[in-house]
Amino acid sequence: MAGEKVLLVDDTRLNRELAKDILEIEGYKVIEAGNGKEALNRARQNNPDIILLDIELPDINGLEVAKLLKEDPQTRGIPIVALTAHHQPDDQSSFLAAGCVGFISKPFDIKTFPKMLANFLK
Amino acid sequence: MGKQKESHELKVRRTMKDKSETKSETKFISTISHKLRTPLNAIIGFSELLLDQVYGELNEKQTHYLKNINSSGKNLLVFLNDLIDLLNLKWGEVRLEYSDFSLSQAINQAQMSVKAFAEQKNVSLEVKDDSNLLTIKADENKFMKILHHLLSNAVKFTPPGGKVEITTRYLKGPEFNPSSLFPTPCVEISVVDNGIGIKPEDQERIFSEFYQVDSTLSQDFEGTGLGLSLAKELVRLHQGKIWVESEEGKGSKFTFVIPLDE
Repeated sequence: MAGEKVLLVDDTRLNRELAKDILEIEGYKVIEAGNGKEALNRARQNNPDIILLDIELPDINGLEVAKLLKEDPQTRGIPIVALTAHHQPDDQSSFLAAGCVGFISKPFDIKTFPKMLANFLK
Repeated sequence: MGKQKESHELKVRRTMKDKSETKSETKFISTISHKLRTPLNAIIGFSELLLDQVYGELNEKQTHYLKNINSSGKNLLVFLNDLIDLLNLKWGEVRLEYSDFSLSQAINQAQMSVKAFAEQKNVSLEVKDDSNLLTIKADENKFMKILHHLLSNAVKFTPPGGKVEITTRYLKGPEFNPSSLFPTPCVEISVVDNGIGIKPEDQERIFSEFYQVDSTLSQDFEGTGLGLSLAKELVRLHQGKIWVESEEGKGSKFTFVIPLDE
């Protein structure tokens, strides 16, 4: 947790604020994006260490965003973790198929959330 | 012949319609779940963050109110999860994913899921595994959910100092045991408590959604009211049976049996 850069993509402002505060307490640097387009731009400009990606986004679906990031040689190597309020078992396999390394479901526990993220960064 | 063909086509069409209906219902359930989960994330998370006092010390009243907000949010989340499970079982598409898994480990994990609740109520949890089964074949996740719902129901209705016990038995097929309900080998799991018990006339009804035997009790025994009906649906999905034996004031014994062949 030595100041790794996290790109946090979520269209719900309150949830973004919550995740950002938790991560900043833990010492992460947080870059925010509120939709798919912003997510793609920020990923290319800021070269984050990891991307937390909400799946339900207003413009481009999160799964599509993940695929685009995986196709781009510049962003291909960045691990993506799906951040989702979906709870259906079918969803989980689609995250992995889109190139995510795993997922964190919302609501998340504020204690386990940074630990889960740290695990994905290992 | 013609008539037979027609009825076949009708059947195919009906199945197709059912499928598309199921699909739209599954989508509907998933949307509700998403819409409710998103604000719950903020309610639970922000209250927890404040309770951690990273942004400054709280006085007693503030702590108390924040705890109320946080625990209400968490209760709502448990209810939402149960409700989504039940809606999926009733209207959506649910498949069983069979695998071989350790019975004792599954029991252990289900026990862990109610451990905090039992400790808080000073109810002891015990296991008497007589089945001698190392592994069983079922949907592990759903098997643990059945056990979780029975255990949390038992803990809920057992007074402090009481005991909840899980017992298991292996039932051979009828060639070995003519009284067996099933033609194939089964595992039988019981959750026995020495709680308040259930009147005979209520013993069937408690498996219905939101049915609580005595509404004056529901203040003391707050819960989602969905646990037992979920357990029943999940047992039914495994082609099994679930029932209760109980005596008022002495306790209840919930038993489910599931065949071990897929």
